[in-house]
Amino acid sequence: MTLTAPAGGIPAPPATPIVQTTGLRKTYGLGGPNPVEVLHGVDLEAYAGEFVALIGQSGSGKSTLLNILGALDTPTSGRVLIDGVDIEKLDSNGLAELRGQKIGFVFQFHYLLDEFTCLENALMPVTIRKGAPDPADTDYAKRLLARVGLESQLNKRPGQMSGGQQQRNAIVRALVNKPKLVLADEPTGNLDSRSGAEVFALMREIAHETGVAFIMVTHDDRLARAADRALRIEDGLMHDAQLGVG
Amino acid sequence: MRFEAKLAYRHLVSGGGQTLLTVAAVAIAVTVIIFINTLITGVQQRILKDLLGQLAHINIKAPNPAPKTLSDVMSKTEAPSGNAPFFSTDRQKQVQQRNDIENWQATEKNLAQFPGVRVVASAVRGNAFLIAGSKRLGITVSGADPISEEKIVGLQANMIAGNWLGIGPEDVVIGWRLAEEAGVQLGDRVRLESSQGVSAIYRVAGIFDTGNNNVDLSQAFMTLRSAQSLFAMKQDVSVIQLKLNDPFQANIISDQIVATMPYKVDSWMREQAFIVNAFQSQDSTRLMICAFALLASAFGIASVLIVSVIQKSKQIGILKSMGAKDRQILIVFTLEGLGIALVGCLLGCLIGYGLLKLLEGIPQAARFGKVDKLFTIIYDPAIFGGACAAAIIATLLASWLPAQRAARMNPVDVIRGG
Ligand SMILES: Nc1ncnc2c1ncn2[C@@H]1O[C@H](COP(=O)(O)OP(=O)(O)OP(=O)(O)O)[C@@H](O)[C@H]1O
Ligand SMILES: [Mg+2]
Repeated sequence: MTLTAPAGGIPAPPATPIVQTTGLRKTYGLGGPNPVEVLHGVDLEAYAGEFVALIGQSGSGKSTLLNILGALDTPTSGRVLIDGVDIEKLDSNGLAELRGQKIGFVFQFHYLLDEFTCLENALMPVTIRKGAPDPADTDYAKRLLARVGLESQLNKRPGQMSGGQQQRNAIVRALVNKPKLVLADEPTGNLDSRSGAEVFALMREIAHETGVAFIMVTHDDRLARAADRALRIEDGLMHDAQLGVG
Repeated sequence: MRFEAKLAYRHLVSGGGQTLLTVAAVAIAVTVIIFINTLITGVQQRILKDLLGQLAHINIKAPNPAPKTLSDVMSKTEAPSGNAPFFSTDRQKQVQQRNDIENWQATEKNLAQFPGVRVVASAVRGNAFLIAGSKRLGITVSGADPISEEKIVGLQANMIAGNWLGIGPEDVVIGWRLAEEAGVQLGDRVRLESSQGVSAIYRVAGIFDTGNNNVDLSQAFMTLRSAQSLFAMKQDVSVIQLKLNDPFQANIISDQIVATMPYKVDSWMREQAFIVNAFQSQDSTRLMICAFALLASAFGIASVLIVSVIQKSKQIGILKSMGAKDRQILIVFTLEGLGIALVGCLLGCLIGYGLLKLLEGIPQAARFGKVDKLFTIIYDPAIFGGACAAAIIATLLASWLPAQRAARMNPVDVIRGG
């Protein structure tokens, strides 16, 4: 696998961002008795090969933002461009296709399918998109699984793997379709600090190796500091995070 | 499709008890439908065979002349009332009022042209006494060409002694109960005395057992010529009998015949209306049982699938986040319904077949060395196929709602749930 990171460690941003939002607003309970606006106009850009950490208080709207970026949810107003496509213009099938081709998700819980093995789970997005993976896909999935240290777990069910292994399996699944954007919502939140750190390191390395734009929500300032860039959501707005060293 | 089929298959396999429960629900419904329908069809066929085996589907007679008063009829009857227990005034009336069909050969040809008519056979029918020793028994005598009459009454298979096809002008064939009652055996001679007062001696050339008490006790058969002379009828016949391809067309066809011929046409369905009514209520009973079996199984399957969809809501959400479309999720759960239906049908057919085989093995009490089966079982592919088709449709309908629910699930809601 090739690294896209230049010598400086931080890749130079390409001309067009993979994901770009302008004036993003999200109101819950719209039309109800007490609507709550969670996002008050978020502007955000993320570029290929960039690893961005997203921090903020609990309830500040991190998951809300991530779901919108991942075309799982729609904003109340504002624009979301994913790889140049305005998601507002897509119907539910178009959104599903966009998710399948351009986006990978990692959640706090692995959400692997119990009925399938490690390799089958890793290949699930390809299976959904094509019906069945072809040898090249299987080959790629195996290489990614080997990259995260799961080469000996290919035929295990999720229930037979450790929490860290499950989450690494889920990371491979998020990458197997060669997406442009990977969104991770507290992917280490459910792991102990050791395997959490391992999983984080892997994600960051793979993000750089594969050149995806990687946005990770975390509560852990140490992890956020290790990202290429850290953003903080506060009062429904996006700020560059000021993280003290150490 | 391969993704949907694979996921549906894995769901079913890992579903374990839930899957077994739904498959069992389909299997039981299919078994019940096959069993009930085969049994009732068998019973009806048996009744039809026993009843219609000796009966024409349609009888054509010359119309009755103007009715006569009872006293008029009584005065002309010479039958000694003491020995004739079953003499009804109606029967006397028929006996007394001769209404023969002349030129019956031409009428037979006409009748054979009607669509749905399988057999046409003319006969002389009349009442007579069988006299053996001191016994004097009232019977109905049919005289016809044995070859064509056989196609109406199917006697040959029921002969327990002697012969029916190929009898001569001196011969008579009677039922075993009549033989027993009269105390006569094969080869014995009996005297028959017709209501026209003609009397002659006949040889008992055959004894039959139709299983129908009435027929076995009171019917006798002879050649057309013999009966024509016994009843003093010259060349005429008294009835033209028809067998149809479908006995249940009897009313329709008899109405068509009435419209074209100046005869009295009787359909077995009107004469034996109670049988037809019994069949109809059997049919509605079986329909109800089948409908309830399907309904119960469909509700069972729907509730199990709804639970399974709710259990899998996280998985459905994650699949959608990976690009699965609503339609794909819909197909997954519909395929699960289809899989359940197909396995359930296969199982139901096997169980149904096995049960019927068991039932078929039960023998009926033997009579005259003929061992009969208690149940008439016909393995009708239409019943098996119909049961499966009904179960598949019911199961697909039952899985429709859960599948819709799964397809409409919003991934954000379920993933947020944690
Ligand atoms: N479906 C919803 N309806 C109404 N309010 C909602 C809904 N989803 C989220 N919220 C509210 O929106 C706000 C932001 O929620 P969100 O889950 O985005 O926060 P978060 O930053 O991810 O928090 P955490 O760190 O605890 O995961 C919260 O106040 C939450 O109560
Ligand atoms: Mg959150």
